[in-house]
Amino acid sequence: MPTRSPILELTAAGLFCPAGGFHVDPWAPVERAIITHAHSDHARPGSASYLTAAEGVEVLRTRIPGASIEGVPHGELRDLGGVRVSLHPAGHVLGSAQVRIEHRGEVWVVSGDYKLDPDPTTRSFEPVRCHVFVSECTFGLPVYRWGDPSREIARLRAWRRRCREEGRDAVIAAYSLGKAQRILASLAEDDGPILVHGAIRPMCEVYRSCGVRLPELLPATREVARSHRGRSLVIAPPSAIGGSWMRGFPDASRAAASGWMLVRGVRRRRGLEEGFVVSDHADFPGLERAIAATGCEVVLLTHGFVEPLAAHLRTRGLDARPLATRFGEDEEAAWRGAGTEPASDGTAVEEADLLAEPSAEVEP
Amino acid sequence: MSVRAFASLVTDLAATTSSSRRVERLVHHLRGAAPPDAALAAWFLLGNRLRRAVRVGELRAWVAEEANLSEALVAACHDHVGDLAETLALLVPDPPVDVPDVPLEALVEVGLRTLATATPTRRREIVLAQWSRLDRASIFAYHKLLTGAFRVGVARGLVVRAIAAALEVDEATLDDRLAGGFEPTQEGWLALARPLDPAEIARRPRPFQLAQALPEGAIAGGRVAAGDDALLEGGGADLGPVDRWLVEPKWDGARAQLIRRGDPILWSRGEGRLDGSFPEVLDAARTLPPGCVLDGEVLLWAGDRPRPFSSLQRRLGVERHAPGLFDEDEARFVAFDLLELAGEDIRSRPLGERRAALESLLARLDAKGSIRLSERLRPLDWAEADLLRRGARERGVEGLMLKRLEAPYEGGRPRGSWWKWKVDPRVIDAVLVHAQAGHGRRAGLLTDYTLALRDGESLVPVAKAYSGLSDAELVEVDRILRRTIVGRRGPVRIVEPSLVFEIAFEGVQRSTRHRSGLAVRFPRILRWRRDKTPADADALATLAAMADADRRSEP
Repeated sequence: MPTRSPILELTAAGLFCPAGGFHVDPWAPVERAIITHAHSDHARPGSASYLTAAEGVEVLRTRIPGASIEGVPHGELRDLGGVRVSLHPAGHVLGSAQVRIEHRGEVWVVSGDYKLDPDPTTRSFEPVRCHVFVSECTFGLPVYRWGDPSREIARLRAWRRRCREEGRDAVIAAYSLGKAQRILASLAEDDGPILVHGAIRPMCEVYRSCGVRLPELLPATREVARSHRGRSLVIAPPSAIGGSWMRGFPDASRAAASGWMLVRGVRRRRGLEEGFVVSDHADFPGLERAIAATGCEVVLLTHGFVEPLAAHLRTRGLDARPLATRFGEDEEAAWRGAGTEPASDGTAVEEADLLAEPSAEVEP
Repeated sequence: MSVRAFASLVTDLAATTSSSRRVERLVHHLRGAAPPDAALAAWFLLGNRLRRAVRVGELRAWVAEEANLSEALVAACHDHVGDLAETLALLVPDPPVDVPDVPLEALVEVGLRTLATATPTRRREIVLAQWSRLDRASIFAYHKLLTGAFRVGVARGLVVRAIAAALEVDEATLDDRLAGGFEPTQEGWLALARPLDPAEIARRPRPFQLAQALPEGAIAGGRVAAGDDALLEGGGADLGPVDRWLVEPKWDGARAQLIRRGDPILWSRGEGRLDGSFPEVLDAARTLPPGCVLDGEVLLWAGDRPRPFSSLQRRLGVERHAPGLFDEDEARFVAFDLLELAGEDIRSRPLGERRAALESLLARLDAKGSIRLSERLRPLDWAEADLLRRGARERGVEGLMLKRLEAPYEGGRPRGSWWKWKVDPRVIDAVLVHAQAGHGRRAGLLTDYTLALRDGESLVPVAKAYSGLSDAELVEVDRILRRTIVGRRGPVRIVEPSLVFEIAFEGVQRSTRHRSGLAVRFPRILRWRRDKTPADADALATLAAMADADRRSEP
């Protein structure tokens, strides 16, 4: 660990770079915010100016309308007060990025959220060499190991066909930014008719305008639902699945696409018939691999199973420490209903807020 | 049925909540299976289990070693997932792709039965060999069988219905055949589909008739109070006059049939044959004329008062009577129904007739012997019946049984024919002090609570409770608890005392094995007292006074 003052420090507003005068994914309004991706726990309104990956500008503008947003192509260097900043693909959702920060020969990388699996809607994760890696660890327990995502998609389509044969609607819960579009992009026209909840549709249009191909989508209104009763595939945010909105789909089969679906208890608690393990986060081996690929000396872990993963990485000879942030309040976390808790030393207390029901979804 | 098919059946059953779909899946799988596999699948689904041959600690250690993880990390995973079998299945390193499927019978034979006699080293080899040849879903099913915690949340009745359909046997007939249990073998399975041989029939009990629970405050002037109709599903909104019912104490013993067709057999509903545990009852049964079957409860007595069910534990599981072993207490079979008389099945006759036959049968026996007639209470009206119920605790029974005098004896839980009407539970307000993650549907949520009462300045744990809150409340409590954790001991989280719950329980006794000095029976949560703080909770002395009051009422 370098002895100089750190490149990033934790302030009341979030991760701050004193030398460069900017915050990364601040949770309070600041002068200059660099945004890794547009999920509501990373991109909050109120800052004077935003910098994000060029491919993510439209997505971010949809989430924070009226904000002053500048886009930077992946890999392009920016000089901010003598600090060299560049953004690199994180593979999480459209336009997501890791933030590389270099100052006086020392390099820090803030991962944002990331995954290593292929995804037709976003650029793949690229490891970036650094001294200090600030990594998420949403799925930082070894029980979380994803299989081949294309097999889960195949299972999803088989479930959808089975439902149609039984004359039942198939309703699947998926996060409105990223997961929903990733699933949709993996479907074919013959999976239709595909109905989309009102909270998801606007983001599908943004994805289309950014060149992502999606199948034909119908609005999931009562009228449309009625005219396709018993044969529609419906995509909705997790918060809608348990609510009164579902009355429009009597006797529907309910499913969800999320990394949390790996655990039966989560599926059963929600009364889901099927769970598809499709995550936009790295699984445990993925976290280990990504962290190793950075060649970092220090890894700071945020949102997720911080303590167990840090202890595990220390047994592997890495200097791993917890870092208390307010990231992780997105819908992936909302599926869990439980999981992480405040670390015994009082760090990561904000993790307690993850234990929310799906109402944690904030729609613009 | 292959292991993979069995695993997918288990997954299917957990996924659907519709009873008819569950039965459909069961029938489909049982029909398609070879008899030895179908037998095993049905046997496990009926809730039977093999004796656990591997310790949980061993499994955790082997997984840690194979996956190259610390045991602490494996423990953190277990805390998070909640279910051990599932945790371990998720941690076992991926087996090679395209492993061939295995018949269920082969897995049970090689992977389970051989463990019982194996050395620790050999046990490890056996378990690891299964890991390397099963896919993940199958490993989960294997672990479920291995840890003996095989519960898929499918009611026995549904499994029986499915077996009946798969074997094309009438459901009641099948229930009769299953009553004595069945061997999970090809022979056992095929035997379910054909009539039993007479020698076997002579050993089997009749399917037990069970009672429905009468909801709290359900009877007002003989009418089931409005609003409770849904609970009773229309099955007797009006109980009619009290003299249409046989009113008896609800005994707190082991339900059993005393079968005196030839040599007497005592068959308990929960434990199978109990002949060895209650030799004095068997001896007394030899004085009954052959050809009869009695239904009743086995209890231990102290003087003229029955002892609680827990006192039976020492006797259960004893296979052969050793002289002198049971001298200090007296077992009695308290008979309340007669199913066969002089070799004739009389179950279709009304209860009134059966009761009269039972009374005259027992009148010939020694009145102070080990077989007694269950007392018939004769309240004049429902108000008096309610008084009798309220006084049940003082008499060492759990409440009243109400049995319709015109009704025949039917296996299972027929509607509106037998009611159990329990004494009101005791109630205290207690403070949540520790919590632990639950299992199954509650996995990952802190739902298993330790509750405490005030004792001066300190809080003394008195009960653990797992049930009573809605799913929404469980999530809300979980959130509060996780913010107020002040320490941990293994999987247990110690929390800042802030939440108060109303706890109901059946009774309380002095105990030297509990820190509080008191043992409560069947504690469960009635409701969350959001209006109360720990300072408003009950004192330990209040609970102690309840224990002493119960004891004073003993002779």
